[in-house]
Amino acid sequence: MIMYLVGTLFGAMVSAYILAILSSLVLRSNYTLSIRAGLSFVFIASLSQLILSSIIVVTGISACLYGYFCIDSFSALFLIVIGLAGLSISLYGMEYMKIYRGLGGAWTYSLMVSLFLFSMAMLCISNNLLLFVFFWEIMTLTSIILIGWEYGKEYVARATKQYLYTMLLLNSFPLILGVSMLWASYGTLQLSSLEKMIDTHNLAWLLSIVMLYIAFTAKAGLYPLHFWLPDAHPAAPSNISSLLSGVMIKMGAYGLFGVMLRYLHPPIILYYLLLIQALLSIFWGSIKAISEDHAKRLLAYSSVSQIGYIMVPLSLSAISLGFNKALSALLLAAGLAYLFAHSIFKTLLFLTSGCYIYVYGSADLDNVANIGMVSKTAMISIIIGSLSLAGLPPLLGYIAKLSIYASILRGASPLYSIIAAIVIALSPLTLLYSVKYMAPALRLVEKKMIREKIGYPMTAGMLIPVVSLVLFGLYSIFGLFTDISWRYYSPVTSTAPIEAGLIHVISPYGYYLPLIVSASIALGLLLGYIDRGRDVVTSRIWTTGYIIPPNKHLLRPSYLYIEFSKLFKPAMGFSHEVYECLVWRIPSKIVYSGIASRITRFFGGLNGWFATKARGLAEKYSRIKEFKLDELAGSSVLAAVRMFGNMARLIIVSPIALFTTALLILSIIVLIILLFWWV
Amino acid sequence: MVQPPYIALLLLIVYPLLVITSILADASKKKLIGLISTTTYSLLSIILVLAIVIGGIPARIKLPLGIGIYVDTFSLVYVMTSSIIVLAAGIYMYVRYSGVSDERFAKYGILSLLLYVTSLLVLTDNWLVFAILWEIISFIAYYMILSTSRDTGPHYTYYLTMHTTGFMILVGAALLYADNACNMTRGIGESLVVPALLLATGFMSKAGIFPFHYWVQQVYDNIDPLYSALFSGIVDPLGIYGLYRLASASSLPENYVWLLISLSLISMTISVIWYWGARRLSSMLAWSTIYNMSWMMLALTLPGAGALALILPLYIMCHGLSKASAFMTMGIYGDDYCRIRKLYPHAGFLLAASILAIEGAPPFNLFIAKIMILKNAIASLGVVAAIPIIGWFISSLFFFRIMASILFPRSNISEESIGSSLSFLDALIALMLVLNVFSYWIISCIAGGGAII
Repeated sequence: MIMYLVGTLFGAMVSAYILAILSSLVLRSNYTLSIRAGLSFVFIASLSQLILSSIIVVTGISACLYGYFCIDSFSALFLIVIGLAGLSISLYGMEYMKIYRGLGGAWTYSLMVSLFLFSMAMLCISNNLLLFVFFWEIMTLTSIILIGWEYGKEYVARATKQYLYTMLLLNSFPLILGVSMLWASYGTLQLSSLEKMIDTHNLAWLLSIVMLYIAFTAKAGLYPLHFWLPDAHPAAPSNISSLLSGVMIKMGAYGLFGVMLRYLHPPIILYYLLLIQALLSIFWGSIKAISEDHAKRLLAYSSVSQIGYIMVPLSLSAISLGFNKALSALLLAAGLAYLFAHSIFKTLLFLTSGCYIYVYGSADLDNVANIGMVSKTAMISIIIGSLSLAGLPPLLGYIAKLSIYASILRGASPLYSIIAAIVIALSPLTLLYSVKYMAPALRLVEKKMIREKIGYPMTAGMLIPVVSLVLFGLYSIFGLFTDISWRYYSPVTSTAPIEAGLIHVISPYGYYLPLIVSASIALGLLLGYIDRGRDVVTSRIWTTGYIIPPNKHLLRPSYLYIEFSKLFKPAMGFSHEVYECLVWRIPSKIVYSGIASRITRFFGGLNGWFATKARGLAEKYSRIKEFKLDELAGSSVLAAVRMFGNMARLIIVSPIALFTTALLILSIIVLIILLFWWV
Repeated sequence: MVQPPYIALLLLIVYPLLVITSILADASKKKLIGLISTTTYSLLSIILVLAIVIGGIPARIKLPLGIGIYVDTFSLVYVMTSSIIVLAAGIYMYVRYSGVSDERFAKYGILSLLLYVTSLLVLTDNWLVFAILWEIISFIAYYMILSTSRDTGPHYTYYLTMHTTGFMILVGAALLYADNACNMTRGIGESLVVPALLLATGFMSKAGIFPFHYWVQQVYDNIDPLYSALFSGIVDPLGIYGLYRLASASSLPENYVWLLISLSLISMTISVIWYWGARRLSSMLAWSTIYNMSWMMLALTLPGAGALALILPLYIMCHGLSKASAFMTMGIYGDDYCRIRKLYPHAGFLLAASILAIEGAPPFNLFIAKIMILKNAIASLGVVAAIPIIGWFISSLFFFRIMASILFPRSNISEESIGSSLSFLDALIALMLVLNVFSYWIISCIAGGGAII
């Protein structure tokens, strides 16, 4: 019965995605209708996907469809993430895409969004690496189109091209190469068969693993392969940015753990490397986010940082797999819990950044305000999203982050303690940029020109993650993550069941402290709300030590943490320069434009030179009828020159000579081969 | 099971009648009749393929007059691909060439004749018949260049090359005939290396493999894009088909296999390098044809290519459909790809999608064919497999640059959109791209449901 239901829901999901494409095509002459029809079907597809994956997670069954697709609890979690984001962005986009009406292409938008979501869903359930790569590439290509939606803007075109080349160099190419090598070595790409055949002494296996690792970490946006992310995510329309940050970068995590760790037996050293990359990502993403004043860039850097938080427990889980399977499962559950939480609040936060753009036409945090006057839901969404990002109770982000700290501390070894100390020490940075992002929502002193009012579809789109964050935060669902991780490791932990679920790990920390913090935050927000009518700030504000001129006594986000930013300015400046050189200036000047245009110029020039010079020479020498030095020894050389001149002329102008040359080349090749054969 | 009489009726009576009708329609300038006869023929051809597939593929069929035909997955896919391209080309001709100045490009007779001779060529089981049909195709192709070329050079080059190498094929077939090995289904022994090499040379020249690559760019640059589509999708892959038949019939010594592998790798390298020197889209697509033919030849010559009969048909179909869509888009909207999205937004997407399809990016199924060839190359060639890998990477870089120029044109190009509505021809091109996406499934069905992966 359940299998029948799963099959039906899967069919409904695929059909709804196809209908989304068809309906938007049929209604393409009407921009609004085309988008609404397309996104309505995306909504239905996401809903079916959500129900399907929830059934799988709750019942713990595995369903195999058509031999090539398998849904188990682990992949179902990713389907839930995609489904939730799909629900939000489909509602939100119905209204938000109005501001892009001038660009047209409604059907293209619906087509790309449907394909983007569909490909991500399918790659999570592919049981065959070829299909995995197939859907992975569709995901990449559709994201390129969606990121470059406003292609007329210089920064969008630049970000899109950077993304395109980065993905080609660091994602598609290594992935295809790695998969081809695996196929050539083992003769199959069925993951379940590969798992049994992997031979860890095979060089091709090692090279493939390295290639796949590069591809997945580049897609996840982990330091130092994160450089494309802060440019690409803000360039896209906000509802797409929320998909990129909320869902797409998680596919990197799926690749690293759902494919590599699970089936390909990678060397554990790679996960130590991943751990280092994750820690660097947390640090660097946070520092950069704090110094950003553009809402979407701040959130993009935050994604770099938060993917680090996700990867730390996951990589530790892989590391501890060899000596403590229960701990490993616990760490995996914590990582998955944070992945789930991050997906929801980052989707929400990017949607709220879209509200700024929609209402004020700008995402500069200094130039936006009064969002609460336009939409209370938007203001609440910003507050809930930011608090969840900061990891404050009683929201989902708090419990998920707490589970990371608690699980790492369970490691009870110096390595784990040091990692826990670093992660905990870095987390206030998240609070700092969360407050910075939240500040304009609470700043009620400046009235701005309102471009558009936020309607119901956008509000509904934001309410889905808001409700999820609050409900999942209040009602613990962590038993599910423990179950998922247990099932993930079940082949190896069948004799060593997990001693305690996540909920037991975090329970020693009690409920009183979270309650007190929650009550304090609620009180602060209430006071702020009561105080909202006051137009003039007369009291001295806390400026973190920075002296603000009296005429600027407005709480602008860019004034926050100026001293802090100064502290890191040399490092950031240096890093910025290095990155600018490494990932854009040098590649764009040398690789993309330089080498490409030089090759083009070289061959174009060679072509021209050959055509003009050789023709000139040919004409010149072929006209020499008499030569007075004939009697000298050099006459034979001159005769040869004359002969080559004639030949060159013939080669250029005469098809007979072209053909003769071709046959000559072929004969030479045959002769060489025969010679080798004979020797 | 489809009985031979039905096939005989179509191949020997109905098809020739339709070909003659379309030729007469051309002569009397009756466009509609030409269109109807060409499209009817293409549709009947597709139906015949489907009927054979549904009825079960018989290996050999004997028709009246002693004509023998040999049917396998590859030949059926070839006929189907050609029929789809000719169908699209017929509609394209009718819609596109309506003005007085370009009416001379509308040649329904040529389309039907090309499809008829191609179908016979891929179905025949006799090397001598094959060689004669080959020569007829060379004449048709020559006529196609002659009637649309802007320059006098290309048709001369083509004529000379094709008829000289066609002569080699005739000699090769005659030598096989003399040795009683003219039946294509019988193996060619190792003692018949010379005729096999003569045949291979002729086939390589048609496919534009090095050192016979020189005519391709010259021709494509000078003829109408629709005819380039026909060349790229139907005529040039015949060389690969010939090599396939040769490879299935003969066992060449290992050195000669390595010769063919080397030539395909050299062709691949040359075409990848020459992409960067190409300024016009037609030149790029010409080099791309050479590049893709090299991939196909590599697939043919690689040892251990178990799914040979499936990889190549998939490649032929995907390549033919994607090239046809790219050339047709170019024919409708011009080859100024930097401006196309600003002028015709949907055409920009169509061209970008066609380029992705040509390059082998998912969801277009050339990706599957290429990755399978790559797998075979890594398994058989070892380090030498780096050549196709790097070649694919460099050509991807090149075509992604072109795609970026199409999709994200520079902001200083300020033309306003002048065509935002989809036309009938756009839908036709989009349909070919959709077929490309499902080509793996189509070929799996033709092959009797056998999965390639």
